[in-house]
Amino acid sequence: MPRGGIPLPGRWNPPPLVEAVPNGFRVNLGRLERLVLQQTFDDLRVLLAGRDPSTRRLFPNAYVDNPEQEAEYQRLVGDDLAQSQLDALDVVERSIDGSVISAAELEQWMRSVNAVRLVIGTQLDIAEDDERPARSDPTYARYGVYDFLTQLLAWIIDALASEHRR
Amino acid sequence: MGDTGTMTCSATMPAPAEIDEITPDEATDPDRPWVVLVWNDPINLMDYVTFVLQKLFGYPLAKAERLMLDVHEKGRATVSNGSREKAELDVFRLHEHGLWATMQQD
Repeated sequence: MPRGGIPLPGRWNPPPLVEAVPNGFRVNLGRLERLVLQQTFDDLRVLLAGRDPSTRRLFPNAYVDNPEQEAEYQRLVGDDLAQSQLDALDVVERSIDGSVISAAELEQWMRSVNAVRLVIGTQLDIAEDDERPARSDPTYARYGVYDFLTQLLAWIIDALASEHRR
Repeated sequence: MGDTGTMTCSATMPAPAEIDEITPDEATDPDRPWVVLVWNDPINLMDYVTFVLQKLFGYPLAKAERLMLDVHEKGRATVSNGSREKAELDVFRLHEHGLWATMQQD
Protein backbone atom coordinates (compact mmCIF):
# COMPACT_ATOMS: atom_id res chain seq x y z
CA MET A 1 0.00 0.00 0.00
CA PRO A 2 1.25 3.48 -0.75
CA ARG A 3 1.63 5.76 2.22
CA GLY A 4 -0.64 8.62 1.13
CA GLY A 5 -0.96 11.68 3.33
CA ILE A 6 -1.23 15.34 2.51
CA PRO A 7 1.95 16.77 0.98
CA LEU A 8 3.59 19.71 2.70
CA PRO A 9 2.51 23.08 1.35
CA GLY A 10 4.68 24.43 -1.40
CA ARG A 11 5.80 27.96 -2.10
CA TRP A 12 2.26 29.28 -2.38
CA ASN A 13 -0.72 28.35 -0.26
CA PRO A 14 -3.72 27.19 -2.23
CA PRO A 15 -7.02 26.83 -0.33
CA PRO A 16 -7.32 23.41 1.31
CA LEU A 17 -8.72 20.90 -1.16
CA VAL A 18 -11.18 19.73 1.50
CA GLU A 19 -12.23 22.16 4.16
CA ALA A 20 -14.26 21.81 7.36
CA VAL A 21 -16.82 24.61 7.35
CA PRO A 22 -19.82 25.37 9.59
CA ASN A 23 -22.37 22.56 9.09
CA GLY A 24 -20.07 20.26 7.19
CA PHE A 25 -17.36 20.22 4.57
CA ARG A 26 -16.56 21.76 1.24
CA VAL A 27 -14.43 20.37 -1.59
CA ASN A 28 -12.53 23.31 -3.15
CA LEU A 29 -11.72 22.48 -6.73
CA GLY A 30 -10.32 24.83 -9.33
CA ARG A 31 -12.21 25.14 -12.60
CA LEU A 32 -9.80 22.88 -14.46
CA GLU A 33 -9.71 20.33 -11.66
CA ARG A 34 -13.50 20.23 -11.68
CA LEU A 35 -13.58 19.62 -15.43
CA VAL A 36 -11.02 16.84 -15.25
CA LEU A 37 -12.75 15.22 -12.29
CA GLN A 38 -16.16 15.41 -13.95
CA GLN A 39 -14.68 13.75 -17.02
CA THR A 40 -13.25 10.87 -14.96
CA PHE A 41 -16.63 10.39 -13.24
CA ASP A 42 -18.41 10.37 -16.61
CA ASP A 43 -15.87 7.79 -17.81
CA LEU A 44 -16.50 5.64 -14.73
CA ARG A 45 -20.23 5.59 -15.42
CA VAL A 46 -19.61 4.37 -18.97
CA LEU A 47 -17.07 1.76 -17.84
CA LEU A 48 -19.42 0.50 -15.09
CA ALA A 49 -22.33 0.23 -17.52
CA GLY A 50 -20.26 -1.94 -19.85
CA ARG A 51 -18.51 -3.79 -17.03
CA ASP A 52 -15.24 -2.86 -18.66
CA PRO A 53 -12.32 -5.08 -17.57
CA SER A 54 -10.65 -2.02 -16.03
CA THR A 55 -13.42 -1.97 -13.39
CA ARG A 56 -12.49 -5.44 -12.14
CA ARG A 57 -10.97 -4.06 -8.95
CA LEU A 58 -14.46 -2.79 -8.06
CA PHE A 59 -15.82 -6.33 -8.26
CA PRO A 60 -13.28 -8.49 -6.45
CA ASN A 61 -13.73 -12.20 -5.82
CA ALA A 62 -15.27 -13.04 -2.45
CA TYR A 63 -14.58 -16.79 -2.51
CA VAL A 64 -11.09 -17.54 -3.74
CA ASP A 65 -11.22 -21.32 -3.83
CA ASN A 66 -14.88 -22.05 -4.50
CA PRO A 67 -16.01 -21.16 -8.03
CA GLU A 68 -19.65 -22.11 -7.35
CA GLN A 69 -19.99 -19.93 -4.28
CA GLU A 70 -18.11 -17.19 -6.10
CA ALA A 71 -20.52 -17.30 -9.05
CA GLU A 72 -23.43 -17.12 -6.62
CA TYR A 73 -21.89 -14.14 -4.79
CA GLN A 74 -21.31 -12.26 -8.05
CA ARG A 75 -24.84 -13.05 -9.19
CA LEU A 76 -26.32 -11.81 -5.90
CA VAL A 77 -24.31 -8.64 -5.33
CA GLY A 78 -22.70 -7.67 -8.64
CA ASP A 79 -25.51 -5.29 -9.62
CA ASP A 80 -25.75 -3.91 -6.07
CA LEU A 81 -22.04 -3.12 -6.08
CA ALA A 82 -22.34 -1.29 -9.40
CA GLN A 83 -25.44 0.58 -8.21
CA SER A 84 -23.69 1.52 -4.98
CA GLN A 85 -20.89 3.15 -7.00
CA LEU A 86 -23.44 4.99 -9.16
CA ASP A 87 -25.28 6.26 -6.06
CA ALA A 88 -22.01 7.62 -4.67
CA LEU A 89 -21.31 9.34 -8.01
CA ASP A 90 -24.74 11.02 -7.84
CA VAL A 91 -23.84 12.57 -4.48
CA VAL A 92 -20.45 13.69 -5.73
CA GLU A 93 -21.77 15.28 -8.90
CA ARG A 94 -24.39 17.22 -6.92
CA SER A 95 -21.67 18.84 -4.81
CA ILE A 96 -18.79 19.11 -7.26
CA ASP A 97 -19.49 22.88 -7.49
CA GLY A 98 -18.28 23.35 -3.91
CA SER A 99 -21.57 23.29 -2.02
CA VAL A 100 -21.45 22.40 1.67
CA ILE A 101 -21.84 18.67 2.30
CA SER A 102 -22.26 16.41 5.33
CA ALA A 103 -19.71 13.86 6.56
CA ALA A 104 -21.88 11.11 5.07
CA GLU A 105 -21.76 12.84 1.69
CA LEU A 106 -18.02 13.34 1.97
CA GLU A 107 -17.74 9.58 2.53
CA GLN A 108 -19.42 9.11 -0.86
CA TRP A 109 -16.76 11.40 -2.32
CA MET A 110 -14.17 9.20 -0.67
CA ARG A 111 -15.62 6.07 -2.28
CA SER A 112 -15.98 7.62 -5.73
CA VAL A 113 -12.50 9.12 -5.78
CA ASN A 114 -11.05 5.81 -4.64
CA ALA A 115 -13.09 3.93 -7.25
CA VAL A 116 -11.70 6.14 -10.01
CA ARG A 117 -8.17 5.63 -8.64
CA LEU A 118 -8.71 1.87 -8.74
CA VAL A 119 -9.85 2.01 -12.36
CA ILE A 120 -7.10 4.35 -13.57
CA GLY A 121 -4.54 2.44 -11.49
CA THR A 122 -5.69 -0.75 -13.21
CA GLN A 123 -5.49 0.88 -16.64
CA LEU A 124 -1.95 2.08 -15.87
CA ASP A 125 -1.11 -1.25 -14.23
CA ILE A 126 0.30 0.77 -11.37
CA ALA A 127 2.80 -0.66 -8.91
CA GLU A 128 3.50 0.61 -5.44
CA ASP A 129 6.59 2.70 -6.10
CA ASP A 130 6.05 3.39 -9.78
CA GLU A 131 8.17 6.13 -11.20
CA ARG A 132 6.30 8.75 -13.14
CA PRO A 133 6.80 8.72 -16.92
CA ALA A 134 8.50 11.50 -18.87
CA ARG A 135 6.38 14.35 -20.20
CA SER A 136 6.63 12.92 -23.68
CA ASP A 137 5.10 9.61 -22.55
CA PRO A 138 1.48 9.09 -23.71
CA THR A 139 0.45 8.06 -20.17
CA TYR A 140 1.95 11.18 -18.58
CA ALA A 141 -1.39 13.03 -18.25
CA ARG A 142 -3.11 9.93 -16.89
CA TYR A 143 -0.55 9.66 -14.10
CA GLY A 144 -1.17 13.34 -13.40
CA VAL A 145 -4.88 12.69 -12.93
CA TYR A 146 -4.13 9.65 -10.77
CA ASP A 147 -1.78 11.64 -8.54
CA PHE A 148 -4.32 14.44 -8.20
CA LEU A 149 -6.98 11.92 -7.16
CA THR A 150 -4.55 10.49 -4.61
CA GLN A 151 -4.00 13.94 -3.17
CA LEU A 152 -7.73 14.70 -3.08
CA LEU A 153 -8.39 11.37 -1.36
CA ALA A 154 -5.75 12.11 1.27
CA TRP A 155 -7.48 15.42 2.03
CA ILE A 156 -10.88 13.72 2.26
CA ILE A 157 -9.57 11.03 4.62
CA ASP A 158 -7.87 13.65 6.78
CA ALA A 159 -11.09 15.67 7.05
CA LEU A 160 -13.20 12.59 7.86
CA ALA A 161 -10.68 11.20 10.34
CA SER A 162 -10.59 14.55 12.18
CA GLU A 163 -14.38 14.49 12.34
CA HIS A 164 -14.26 10.85 13.51
CA ARG A 165 -11.94 11.72 16.40
CA ARG A 166 -14.27 14.40 17.74
CA MET B 1 -17.42 -27.03 16.89
CA GLY B 2 -15.73 -27.70 13.61
CA ASP B 3 -13.73 -30.69 14.78
CA THR B 4 -15.72 -33.33 12.98
CA GLY B 5 -13.18 -33.85 10.22
CA THR B 6 -14.40 -33.95 6.66
CA MET B 7 -18.02 -33.31 6.02
CA THR B 8 -18.71 -36.10 3.60
CA CYS B 9 -19.01 -38.76 6.31
CA SER B 10 -22.29 -37.38 7.62
CA ALA B 11 -23.79 -36.64 4.23
CA THR B 12 -26.23 -39.12 2.82
CA MET B 13 -26.24 -39.92 -0.85
CA PRO B 14 -29.04 -37.97 -2.54
CA ALA B 15 -31.36 -39.64 -4.98
CA PRO B 16 -30.44 -38.72 -8.56
CA ALA B 17 -33.50 -36.53 -8.92
CA GLU B 18 -32.34 -34.37 -6.03
CA ILE B 19 -28.86 -33.69 -7.27
CA ASP B 20 -29.80 -30.46 -9.02
CA GLU B 21 -31.11 -29.04 -5.78
CA ILE B 22 -27.82 -29.24 -3.93
CA THR B 23 -26.53 -25.79 -3.16
CA PRO B 24 -22.98 -24.93 -2.20
CA ASP B 25 -24.21 -24.32 1.37
CA GLU B 26 -24.81 -27.98 1.89
CA ALA B 27 -21.26 -28.80 0.91
CA THR B 28 -19.84 -26.82 3.83
CA ASP B 29 -20.13 -27.22 7.57
CA PRO B 30 -22.34 -24.36 8.76
CA ASP B 31 -20.81 -24.45 12.25
CA ARG B 32 -17.30 -23.64 11.18
CA PRO B 33 -16.87 -19.87 11.45
CA TRP B 34 -15.94 -17.79 8.44
CA VAL B 35 -13.13 -15.28 8.39
CA VAL B 36 -12.91 -12.17 6.25
CA LEU B 37 -9.48 -11.32 4.88
CA VAL B 38 -8.20 -8.08 3.40
CA TRP B 39 -5.28 -8.39 0.99
CA ASN B 40 -2.52 -5.94 0.20
CA ASP B 41 -2.68 -4.05 -3.08
CA PRO B 42 -0.65 -1.30 -4.74
CA ILE B 43 -3.44 1.27 -5.00
CA ASN B 44 -5.40 1.63 -1.77
CA LEU B 45 -3.76 4.12 0.59
CA MET B 46 -2.71 3.12 4.08
CA ASP B 47 -4.79 5.87 5.73
CA TYR B 48 -7.74 4.90 3.57
CA VAL B 49 -7.62 1.26 4.66
CA THR B 50 -7.34 2.33 8.31
CA PHE B 51 -10.30 4.69 8.03
CA VAL B 52 -12.50 2.14 6.25
CA LEU B 53 -11.79 -0.49 8.93
CA GLN B 54 -12.69 2.02 11.65
CA LYS B 55 -15.84 3.08 9.88
CA LEU B 56 -17.18 -0.34 8.86
CA PHE B 57 -16.34 -2.30 12.01
CA GLY B 58 -16.18 0.44 14.64
CA TYR B 59 -12.61 -0.51 15.52
CA PRO B 60 -10.58 1.97 17.54
CA LEU B 61 -7.82 3.72 15.61
CA ALA B 62 -5.04 1.58 17.17
CA LYS B 63 -6.70 -1.69 16.16
CA ALA B 64 -7.53 -0.47 12.65
CA GLU B 65 -3.94 0.68 12.18
CA ARG B 66 -2.55 -2.62 13.41
CA LEU B 67 -4.74 -4.55 10.95
CA MET B 68 -3.78 -2.16 8.14
CA LEU B 69 -0.09 -2.69 8.91
CA ASP B 70 -0.61 -6.46 8.91
CA VAL B 71 -2.13 -6.16 5.45
CA HIS B 72 0.72 -3.94 4.34
CA GLU B 73 3.57 -5.98 5.79
CA LYS B 74 2.28 -9.56 5.77
CA GLY B 75 0.14 -9.28 2.67
CA ARG B 76 -3.19 -9.89 4.39
CA ALA B 77 -5.07 -9.72 7.68
CA THR B 78 -8.23 -11.18 9.15
CA VAL B 79 -10.51 -8.22 9.76
CA SER B 80 -13.72 -9.90 10.92
CA ASN B 81 -15.34 -13.28 11.42
CA GLY B 82 -18.70 -14.89 12.05
CA SER B 83 -21.47 -16.70 10.25
CA ARG B 84 -21.37 -17.03 6.49
CA GLU B 85 -24.10 -14.40 6.16
CA LYS B 86 -22.22 -11.92 8.31
CA ALA B 87 -18.96 -12.59 6.49
CA GLU B 88 -20.66 -12.10 3.12
CA LEU B 89 -22.12 -8.78 4.24
CA ASP B 90 -18.75 -7.65 5.57
CA VAL B 91 -17.07 -8.63 2.29
CA PHE B 92 -19.73 -6.74 0.35
CA ARG B 93 -19.19 -3.59 2.41
CA LEU B 94 -15.43 -3.84 1.95
CA HIS B 95 -15.94 -4.33 -1.79
CA GLU B 96 -18.17 -1.24 -1.82
CA HIS B 97 -15.10 0.60 -0.55
CA GLY B 98 -12.79 -0.95 -3.12
CA LEU B 99 -10.83 -3.10 -0.70
CA TRP B 100 -9.63 -6.48 -1.85
CA ALA B 101 -11.55 -8.68 0.60
CA THR B 102 -12.23 -12.41 0.49
CA MET B 103 -13.86 -14.91 2.86
CA GLN B 104 -13.11 -18.47 3.77
CA GLN B 105 -13.99 -21.02 6.42
CA ASP B 106 -11.55 -21.06 9.29
